[in-house]
Amino acid sequence: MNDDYKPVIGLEIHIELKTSSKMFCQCSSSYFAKPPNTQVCPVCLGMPGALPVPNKKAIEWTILIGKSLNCRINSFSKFDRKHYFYPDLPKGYQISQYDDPIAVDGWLEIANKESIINQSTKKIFRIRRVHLEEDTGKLIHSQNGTLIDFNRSGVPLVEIVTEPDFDNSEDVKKFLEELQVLIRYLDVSDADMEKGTMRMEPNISIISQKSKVKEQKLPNYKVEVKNINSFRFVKQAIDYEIKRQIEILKEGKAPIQETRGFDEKKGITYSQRKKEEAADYRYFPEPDIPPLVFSQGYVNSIKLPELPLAKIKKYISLGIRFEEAFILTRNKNLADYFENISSKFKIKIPNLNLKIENVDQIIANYIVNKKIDSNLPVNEFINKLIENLKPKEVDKKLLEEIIIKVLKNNQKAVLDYKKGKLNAIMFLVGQVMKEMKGKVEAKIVKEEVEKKLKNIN
Amino acid sequence: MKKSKLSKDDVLRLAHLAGLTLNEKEIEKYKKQLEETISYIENLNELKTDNILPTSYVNFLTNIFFIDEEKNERALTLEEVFQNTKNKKNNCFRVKKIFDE
Amino acid sequence: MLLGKSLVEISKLIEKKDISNKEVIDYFLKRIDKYDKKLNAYLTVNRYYKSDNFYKMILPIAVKDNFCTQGIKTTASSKVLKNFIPPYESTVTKRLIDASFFILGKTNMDAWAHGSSTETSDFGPTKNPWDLLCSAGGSSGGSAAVVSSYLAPAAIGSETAGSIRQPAAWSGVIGLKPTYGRVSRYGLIAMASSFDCPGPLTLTTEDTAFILKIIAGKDKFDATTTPNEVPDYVASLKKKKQFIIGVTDEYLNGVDEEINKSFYQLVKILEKLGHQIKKIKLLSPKYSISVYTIIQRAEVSSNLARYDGIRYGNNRTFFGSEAKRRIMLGTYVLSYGYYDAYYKKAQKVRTLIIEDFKKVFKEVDIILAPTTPIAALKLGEFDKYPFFGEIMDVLNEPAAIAGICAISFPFGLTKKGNLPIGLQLMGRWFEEENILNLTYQIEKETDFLGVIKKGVKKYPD
Repeated sequence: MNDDYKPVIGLEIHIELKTSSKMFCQCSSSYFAKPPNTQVCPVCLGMPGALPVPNKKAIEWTILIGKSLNCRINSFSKFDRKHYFYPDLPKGYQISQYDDPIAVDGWLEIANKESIINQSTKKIFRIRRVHLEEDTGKLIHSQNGTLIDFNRSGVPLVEIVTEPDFDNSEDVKKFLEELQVLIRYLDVSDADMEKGTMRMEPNISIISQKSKVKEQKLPNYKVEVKNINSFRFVKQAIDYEIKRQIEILKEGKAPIQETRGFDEKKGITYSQRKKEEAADYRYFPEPDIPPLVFSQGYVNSIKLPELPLAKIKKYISLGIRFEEAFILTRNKNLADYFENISSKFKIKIPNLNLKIENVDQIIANYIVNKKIDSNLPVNEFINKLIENLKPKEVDKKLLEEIIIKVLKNNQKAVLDYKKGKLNAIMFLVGQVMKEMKGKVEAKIVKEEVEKKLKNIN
Repeated sequence: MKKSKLSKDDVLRLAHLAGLTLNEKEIEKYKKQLEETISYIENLNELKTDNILPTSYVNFLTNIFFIDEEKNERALTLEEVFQNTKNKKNNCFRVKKIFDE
Repeated sequence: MLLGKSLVEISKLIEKKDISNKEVIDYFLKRIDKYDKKLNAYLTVNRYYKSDNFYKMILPIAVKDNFCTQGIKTTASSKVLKNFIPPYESTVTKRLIDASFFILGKTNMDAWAHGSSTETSDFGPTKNPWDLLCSAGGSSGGSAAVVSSYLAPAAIGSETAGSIRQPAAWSGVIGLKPTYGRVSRYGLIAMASSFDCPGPLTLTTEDTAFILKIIAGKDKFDATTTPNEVPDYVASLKKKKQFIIGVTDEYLNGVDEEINKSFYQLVKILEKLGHQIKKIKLLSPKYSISVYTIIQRAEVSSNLARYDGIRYGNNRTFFGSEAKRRIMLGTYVLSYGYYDAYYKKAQKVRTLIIEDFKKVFKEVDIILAPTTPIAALKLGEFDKYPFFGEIMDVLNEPAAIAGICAISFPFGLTKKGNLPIGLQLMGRWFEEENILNLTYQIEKETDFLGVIKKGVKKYPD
């Protein structure tokens, strides 16, 4: 990256909640692959006289998301109307939140080996706000018209806005992946970019470090990129856009403030129809919905599960390597599985005749490297593990035969060892292990091979 | 930023925001009527409201919700959904093609 | 035999089997055929009652055409909804139907409830039954007219600021605006969300209480309805209650002298009945006009945004000029740069008005005032007034802004035009029992100076 130019990137992420009902009515909110317009009612169709009543669970889950992002939960919050005309917006306004969102001022730390182990600079990205709103219907474009399906209209949507703390696409990708894991931990959404239950739009600008204009901390324009459907494309789109903007700046011009689309086939961003002026949404408080008041007691009662980062730190303190801790915690079910096995196994150990150190690291190893299938029920896994850890009954006769065979066929290695090249034994041990097909521990093989070598002249 | 006089552009911009199309005569008529109304409502400046909180809700209610998973008593059949429009195709509402993506 | 009978009286007759419900409905349908062409009060008449359900339906009632009635055309008197047939029922009409009411028909109104004369209706104005050259008032003009001329024993209307009380006053019937949140707005085509109140128009106070008891109460489909219990409004009518009644000059300035005279006549009677009359001070209603104009039009511009002609109805080119004007002003006061100066300022003054009423209601139980500054205007005269008649609602706007309950009842006729004079009582939030009780006392004592009976007699069978 060019040192003269620093990218300034902020993210706007939408998470579709998997509540049973929609945000303001009792229609089912699971619309994927359902026949069009079969999950609608007067409210989500915006019919005359229909009124919204908010879904309590959606609000609780928004607080949950806010808490998991270390936000402050506002004690007073409300809904507002955001006005614009578009065929997929049945009321001509979206019920959203404007100046009193549910959660503000949080942050998300990206799991990072250096920061956890070496306590060096953490990778933290600030969250400006988390608010709740309703989704729109879906447009289906065809040759001679646009079709509208309102099954998705009114589905609860949580919007997360970050501060423009990012300056490269790799961090953005890691952040999104971390956020996705976190949301799935909370079990409030499938957070799937391909299915549209997680959507994101980056805002990208460039500051020119050269023009050290005194107070210029933030650029005076930003480009929003829409229509990015996977984490891989996010990186592509951002990299392309940064390059594009720098080229413009190099020519001495200024990039236009606009919304651009992303073409995944060509890997480029392109200009969409420019809006002549900033949209005037004419926000005002939603009169049909009384405000929300959250007591400290209520907010406290919404409990977080143990979150991925905390689990990673815990596993590391149990002696597990960072890489394996990371993999185990990418999926809450897997992490729970691991913890389940660990606690059950530790209970059994005193009754087994096994000397095991670093139990957790061993279990982690077995799971991550798929040495035992993690789809097995916990008890079966533990049984297989015990089997694997028991010292193997060595077929002494077979071992001796094979050692003799290997030594005979690898005279050079034997000679090397005799000459003093002690490492040559490892090669011989390896060969024996191969012939034994892993039915014996390397330690024992090495002992026996050493014995035999001593007897050779 | 208060002004009692509106320009033609102001009126056109308002009409656009409001999703209305006006002809020349209407622009002139509404311009005049809006100006009259605007100058009347400025009598509110006679009242001091510096430390007064705005009222957004006329009732004294807070935290009114419904419980997720409640039975849907208001589901509409496809027939009911489309009984008031002819803009229908493949069980979707149909509009002129939108060129946006 | 039926002419002029109240709902309660009719239900007693049916109960005693002196008359059948079918005969009652046919009776009103016949009267509608005879007189409605002249009045233009009904937009839709419901002649096709299903005979298998019929034995369940007992009492007929007319409903303003901004209540969504399943299977029955609902237009809000606008060409935009000319052929709209709602696939669902509003809570108010559902509660009435569940209580065995039969919806006689949908009544005419100012289009989208924008107006005080029913002249902005896209389907012609409703004439005042007392003088066909005059307006019946609005926006619930049709509902007031059908009750006044006994084309229905009662009707449902809606009030945003005066839309029940003013036509009740001009057409000489009783009209109640309940406290905001007392009656569900689900299914009521929204005009101004923080003002709209469904309410009854009737010939007797007992009928008002009877209907209110049925339609009031928390609705899970309307988050702004109060969880407060619904008292037995009918039972509390007959209790012997004494009130402290407030009167203020602010609400008498600029009022027609005949209406003033009527007002003082009632004051004397109330004193005779043992109530205490107390002078109070209230904020000048002129500020209410500005507050109401700003907030209402902002909410109107928002509530009419859904009419794009895609899912139902016609597109936005079908809006009438009054609707367009209100949408434009509403958009203006919410637009960027003007929000604080207009909308937010209006909301702050709304707080002042609410605090003003709270203060006054510490001293008095009920406020007495005229309902309108003048009696019914001639059709076409409204054009002379700015705001298309908001001035006409100046005495009704403060109560609407505060959300308190208020009731208008007839009290005499003008000598000039032989037109009904309306007076109103305003009560504390959710104290409909008080104003109903006092209205009942007035009715028992004066029979409203015979206005209602006279009005019905103008339309013999």
